[in-house]
Amino acid sequence: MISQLLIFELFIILIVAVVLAIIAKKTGQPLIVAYILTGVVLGPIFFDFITESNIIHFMEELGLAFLLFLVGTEMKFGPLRKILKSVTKISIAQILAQQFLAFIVAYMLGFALFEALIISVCTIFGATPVVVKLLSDKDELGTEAGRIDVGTLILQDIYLIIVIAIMRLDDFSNIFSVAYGLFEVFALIVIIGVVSYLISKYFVTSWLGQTSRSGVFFLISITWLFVFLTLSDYLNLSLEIGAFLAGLGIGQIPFGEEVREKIRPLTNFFMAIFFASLGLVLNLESVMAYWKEALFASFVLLISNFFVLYYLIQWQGFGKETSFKGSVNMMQLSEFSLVIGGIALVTFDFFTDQALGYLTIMTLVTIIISAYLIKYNHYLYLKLKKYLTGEEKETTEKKRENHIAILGYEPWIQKALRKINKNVVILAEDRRILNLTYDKEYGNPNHKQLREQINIKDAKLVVNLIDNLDLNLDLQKETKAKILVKTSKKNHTLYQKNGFHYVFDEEELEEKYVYQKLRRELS
Amino acid sequence: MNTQLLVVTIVLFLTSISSYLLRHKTISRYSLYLVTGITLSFWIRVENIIELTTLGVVFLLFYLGLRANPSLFERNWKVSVKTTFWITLLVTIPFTILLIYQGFTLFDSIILALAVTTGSSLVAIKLVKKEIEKGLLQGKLTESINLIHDVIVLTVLAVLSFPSNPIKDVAIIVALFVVVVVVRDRFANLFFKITGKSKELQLFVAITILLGLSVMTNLAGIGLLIGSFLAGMILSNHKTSYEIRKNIEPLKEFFIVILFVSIGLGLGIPTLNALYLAALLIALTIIVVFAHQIMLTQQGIHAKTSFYTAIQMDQVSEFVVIATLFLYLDSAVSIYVYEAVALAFLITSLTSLLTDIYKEKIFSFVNKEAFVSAKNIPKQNHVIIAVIGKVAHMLYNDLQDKNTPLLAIDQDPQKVQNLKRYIIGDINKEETWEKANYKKAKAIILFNPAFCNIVKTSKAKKFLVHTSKIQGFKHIDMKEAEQKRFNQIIQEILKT
Repeated sequence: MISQLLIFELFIILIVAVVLAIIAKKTGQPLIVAYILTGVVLGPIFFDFITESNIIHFMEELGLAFLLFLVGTEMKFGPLRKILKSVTKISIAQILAQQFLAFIVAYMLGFALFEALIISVCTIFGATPVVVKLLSDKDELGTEAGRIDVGTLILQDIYLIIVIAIMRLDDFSNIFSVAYGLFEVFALIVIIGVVSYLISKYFVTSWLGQTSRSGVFFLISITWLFVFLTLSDYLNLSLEIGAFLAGLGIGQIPFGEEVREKIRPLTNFFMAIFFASLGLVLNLESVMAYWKEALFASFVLLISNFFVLYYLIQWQGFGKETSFKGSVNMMQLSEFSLVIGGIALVTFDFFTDQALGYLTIMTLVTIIISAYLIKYNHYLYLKLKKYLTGEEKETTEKKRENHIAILGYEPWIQKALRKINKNVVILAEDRRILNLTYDKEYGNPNHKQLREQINIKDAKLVVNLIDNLDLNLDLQKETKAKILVKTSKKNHTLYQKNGFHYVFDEEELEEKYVYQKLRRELS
Repeated sequence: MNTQLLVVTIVLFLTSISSYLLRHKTISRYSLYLVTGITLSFWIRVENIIELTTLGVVFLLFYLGLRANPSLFERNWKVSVKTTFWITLLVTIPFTILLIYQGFTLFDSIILALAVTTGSSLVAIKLVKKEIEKGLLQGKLTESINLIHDVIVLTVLAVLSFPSNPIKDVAIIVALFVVVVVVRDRFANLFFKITGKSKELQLFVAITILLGLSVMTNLAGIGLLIGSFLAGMILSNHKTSYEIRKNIEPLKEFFIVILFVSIGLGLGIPTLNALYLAALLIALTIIVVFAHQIMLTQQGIHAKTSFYTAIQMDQVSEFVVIATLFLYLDSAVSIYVYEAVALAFLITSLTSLLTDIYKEKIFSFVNKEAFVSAKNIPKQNHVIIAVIGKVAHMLYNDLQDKNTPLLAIDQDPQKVQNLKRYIIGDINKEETWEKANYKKAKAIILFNPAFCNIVKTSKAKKFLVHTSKIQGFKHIDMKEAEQKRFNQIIQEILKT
């Protein structure tokens, strides 16, 4: 009864994915490219080795759902508020301009009217996971360009959800049924979105708070997602919309980051299967049908993406560097173009698998090129800035810098901080910090992204109350600030050997203090 | 409506609700999942989620394999192997023979005997987590005995499930274990060289190793369970195995819910025969506990440490339950054997938490004579220190030559045996304190507020070294030291 076939199929998918992922890593490519190519290798184009079973199909669905859940949780509206107006204008103009260009290109290349229209919808999105991952690796998420990109991606994702909702409508036969279907979908989205937001804010925060650090925390987070998936399924909305709305609610609560970190390995696992499955449905004929056109369109769109965004960002008053980097980072097509393409393939008769092949080549080509462009965006800026129009502007906003970053929490720290009247930021996975008046972030300091969020790099002093050598070694690489490490007696020398000059030996302090106090009392 | 999605959502929803509501209770999560499964068994069939259950099994075994690092057990190996050998000889084999004599098939008898005589790594290791972290003997022994149990159970089940050539199977399994132990360091180094620090890649390579070894052992005719466990063992000795464990944990947590719910789904409402058999198995776990205690004491382990180790063997092994589920679905074991084993697992994983909480009381009840031992108890004007840590030791060494006699009280013989005056005893009992003549003492220093109630009537000067304050006790807050020193260091660093 043990499902040996499933284990075998998963093994084959993963072994190919791992080999390609290692090559991708060595060549500086995002892993998504490796996953899509895995499907291509195992599918009809090369070996025709895997056929989609029920369970693999279920995992693919979960992959997409988890991905959108993650996108939803990334949507923290707070930090976006300041640039929301500019970003909204940029996004709307970008969507219109980009869609128009993509439509013209596809139509001129010989696709039918409606097919070209769907293709144009598919090509306007930036690849959120790719951009976020690469910018985070370069510590650029917090920069002005980084935040404009993330803001634009978020608004694009909202548009994406609307597009998916429209494509999932049952009846396109007349304008009234489409209008009614749209109204129904939007009403449901709004209701579920509001329900998600309210329950997250008033209940889930408390549930997660009470179960933080235990297995129940994870269980509640994942149940939250599955309940919304089932609800969407029941209401005939797509699973992706349910997942996105579930994530949106979680994204606004203090534990959003924590949920995201806990759920990430599951997302990575299912997401790999999902992307591999995209390659599985392609056949050589459909991919090769428009390969020349796809390559041509990729280059046209790469260039047009850059110019459209560059001028739009400048139009909103941002400087030359921000405009350049903000647009260079967003030149690729999103993996969601394949998602929408996949949905279109099963929804519309006029959308052919050749069109999906065209989109696949474009996505792969633009993601591969874009990975290098993001990696070397600063170098490119320095080389090209003399040819760019616009002014160089300093960013005016206040950043976390020159601060004392405290990782972890101890109840006595509050008393201790009273005497240190400095710029302090606390990062800890401890509910008690939520009541502190200091600048703080809730979450596990072991997560690099959270450390970036409190800008460890520009701190003046980092105090780590968590006795974890690996974390401390990471800190050494991430910041030039002095690091004060709290540890136990047995690790004291180990830390000193590893170049930590400020070691705070908790046990020794306690022992000495208690010993001296008791000795005084007894004598 | 997507049936698979609906089933998983219902399963997760019910387990979340019950886990949340009972989060403060001493109930094992696995029992809750199992009960959820029993509740749902009226509507859902285990076959509906069998693929996800399979993934649950491989991820769980991989995770347990990641914990199974023989090099951490040092010299406890010998004691653990000897103990397991004698238990097998004196309990497992006779019990198997008895069951065969009672009319059970050889297959069923071995399954039932294994269920009783091997403990649950999942439950036991969680219970002794603190002891393992502190490096206490009972923690190390529990961990090493459980690992040996796991290896035995996996080997026997692999041979039983694919009985074509048992000698060849055993030879393959032994060879694989040897190869894994020998090559794992080199292999793990290669693993991290390939993946670097990318968590995503680490996760995928780890899962690929897991599935690859499972497929390989399956092709070798010994089933995929042993491959999953070995895959974990390969990476268990590496310095970053903790990270892989953390990375794989969400996957394990997700699939393990489905796995244990599936066990419950297969169980449903047990028959009377199964209930009798389960009761017999549960009763026998008590014998197994005492058998372990005797074996450990015989090898020179202190009575209390032996008992604390032995009491962690009072559950039914999850490996046996999981294997029996699949064997039952393949009609290889009878339904009531499966029901009895699953039921015994459910009940013993619940009672195990209780026995862990009350183990001191059970020990003092069972070992009245052996429990309290003492040396040079002063009659009056002495200083009592309970319990003994580093500060207590420092004080003791510093003050023992002065006029004031110091008396140490602790439950752990290892901590006080070298001191001049001590009592080894249950600090929660007034008897122990009376033995220490606490009413005539000059001062009482407590490092734990749990005993404050007993000694509060004493007129001695009373100190409590702890973060919490208790009326009548002079409070010494050790965290005050950190706060003061922290301030000092920060000021110093900021000045430079």
